[in-house]
Amino acid sequence: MYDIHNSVILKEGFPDFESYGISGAGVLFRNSFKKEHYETAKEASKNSGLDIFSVLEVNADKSGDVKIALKNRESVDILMINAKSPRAMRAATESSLVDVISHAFIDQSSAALASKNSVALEINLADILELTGIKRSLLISKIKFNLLLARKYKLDIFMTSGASSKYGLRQPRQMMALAEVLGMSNAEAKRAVMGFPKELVEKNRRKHSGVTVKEGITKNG
Amino acid sequence: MVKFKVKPTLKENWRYISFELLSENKISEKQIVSEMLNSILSFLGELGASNANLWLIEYDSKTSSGIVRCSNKALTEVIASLATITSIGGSRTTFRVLGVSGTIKKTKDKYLNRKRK
Repeated sequence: MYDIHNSVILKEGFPDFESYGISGAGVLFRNSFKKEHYETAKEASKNSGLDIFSVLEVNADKSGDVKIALKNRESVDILMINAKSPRAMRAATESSLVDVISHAFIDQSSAALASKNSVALEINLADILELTGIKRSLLISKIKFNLLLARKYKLDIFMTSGASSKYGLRQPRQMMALAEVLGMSNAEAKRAVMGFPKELVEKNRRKHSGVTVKEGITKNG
Repeated sequence: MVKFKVKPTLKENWRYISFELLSENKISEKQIVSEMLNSILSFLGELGASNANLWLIEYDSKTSSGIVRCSNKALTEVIASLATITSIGGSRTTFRVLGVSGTIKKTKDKYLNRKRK
C-alpha cells in the first residue's frame, strides 16, 4: 500500500511501516516545499526499504493561491490542494497540473471539471478519527455524497491515513473495511487503498522523467 | 442468562479476530473491553452493535495481543469500528489486526503462537 498523505516521516523518522503493510509513503510538506528536508529523508529511507516521494499540500483560500501552488509543480511528485472555498476548489479542478483535491469536499460542477482534468479526490482517515458524535456523522454523509459524485463523473477517489504519528497509521485491511463501511464496493475499496495511490505516484514519476518518443529523443512532461 | 439449545443450521457463524495493540502505556483488559464497546457503539450505533455481537475472548497483557469474537456477517463493520480506536485510558493506541479465522484454535496457532514465539 502507498500512503500518500501522512506527516510521520518528517516528525518521527521511519517507524515500522512494513508491519502496517505500507511499502510507499509520502513526505508531506504543507504550503512550501523544502528540497533539503526531502533529500535528507530520501537518504535516510535507503536503509528502511521504503519507497518515498514528495507531496505538497497547499491550503487555498482563493483562486490565486492555486496559481501560486502550481509554481512548485515541477519540483514535487504529488501536488494536493486543500480548497477552503468554492472558488479555490473551482480553480484547482480547472487545472490538469493539480493531482489531488485533499480532504474530499467537492461540489457537482467542480466534480465534472475534476473528471475532465483527471484530478483525484482524497478521503482522509484522520479527519474521521479526530471527530466524534454528530460532527463525525455529518462528515461521513459529506464523504458519501462525494463518493456518489465520483461514481457519476468517473472520478478517481482514494484513501489515505493522514497520520501525524505512528499511532495514526492503519493497515490496508482496516482502511478497506472503513472504505466499505463508507459505501464503497469491495473492488472500489481495494482500488482506493491499494491500487490508485501507487498508480498516481508511478504516473507522475514517468511524467517527470520524460517520455521517450523515439530512441534518443525524450520529451519532458 | 439462560442458554437455549440451537439447531446446527441456526447457529451463529463466528469469526475470531486476532489483534495486537500498540500503545504508549500498558493497558488492562477492562480498559480494552470498555473502549471496544464504546467505539463500536459510537461508530455503528446500537443496532449495528447488536448485529456485530462483539466479545473479547482473551487478552495477553505481556504481548499486548488477544482474540475478539464477532458475527461472520458483521466482520467488515467490526474491523472498521476497531480501526477508529485512537486512544485508551488517555494514551495513544493503535489496534492492529493480525488475522481472522473461523475457530479459536486456528487463530491461536496461525497468528498468536507465531507472534509469541
